[in-house]
Amino acid sequence: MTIIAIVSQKGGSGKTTLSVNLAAAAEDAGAVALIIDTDPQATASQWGAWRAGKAPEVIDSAPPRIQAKVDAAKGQGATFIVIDTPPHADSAASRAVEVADLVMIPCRPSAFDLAAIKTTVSLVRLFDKPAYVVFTAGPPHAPRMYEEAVELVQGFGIEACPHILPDRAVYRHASAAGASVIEFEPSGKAAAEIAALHAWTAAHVNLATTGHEGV
Amino acid sequence: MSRFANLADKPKVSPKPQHKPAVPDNEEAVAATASVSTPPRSNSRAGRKAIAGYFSLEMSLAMHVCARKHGLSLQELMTEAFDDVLRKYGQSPVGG
Repeated sequence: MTIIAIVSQKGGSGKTTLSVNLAAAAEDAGAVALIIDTDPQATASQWGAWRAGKAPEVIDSAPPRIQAKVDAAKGQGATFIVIDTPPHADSAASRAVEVADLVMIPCRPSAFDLAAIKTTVSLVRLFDKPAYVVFTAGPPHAPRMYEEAVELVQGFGIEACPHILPDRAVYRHASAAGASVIEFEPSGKAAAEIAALHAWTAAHVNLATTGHEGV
Repeated sequence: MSRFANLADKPKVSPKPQHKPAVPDNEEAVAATASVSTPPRSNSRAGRKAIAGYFSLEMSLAMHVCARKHGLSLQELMTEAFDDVLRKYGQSPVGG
């Protein structure tokens, strides 16, 4: 089973968008995916409600119950769990990081947002978990800017995921329809990008669990 | 149909926008939902006072992580810290 924690102390970084679409990509690739929503705002849960039971499902969880829910979900057949966390939530974030195989830190490629990931980086270091920054909501074509953002991230002692999720209108259209981008526009660019990110994630977790070290 | 609904803390969120009937005939249903989602509160706060402060994100994170690493609640960690500081200033620890 693969457990991914989506953590960022910064609001508006795309945590829920990444969570629901990554889980949907896993489901599309044959996994039994589940999203655990620890955000009191319950955005992922609302998305789940709009889907009326269609997989991947979303359940809520108070931070102290995350571990028990992961164990129970595993017993009920879950093979890919994504834990969505709220910003500025140390309890939820630390519990999610604690149970995760891999931590993904969504971040807009801007100086303000990048500076804010320092706190998140210190959290993943404390638990010694493999973690990667995923650039979200930036321009699709700006190679030099992404190169600089990667350098900045490396300066914080963390690596950037080689796959980015640039800003695309389909994320908003899909969310409003209670769909993932893969369901909403299967042949679109966003669908290809999230599928590639999922494939990378799955491969990375498999590598990590067979003895390779992450961050 | 739903594989994991039994694991949720609360009943499923209703899709928005939600149609609310004007007639108050669903009071029983509302009361039933409330009784499911609101567990009886323990009385651990009776006769006690909250001590709050505003700290940096780093301090908040460090305290939560420290508590977690040592299997303590934040309350227990703060009690320990307060007792330590009382001792430091020559006063007797209170212990919670």
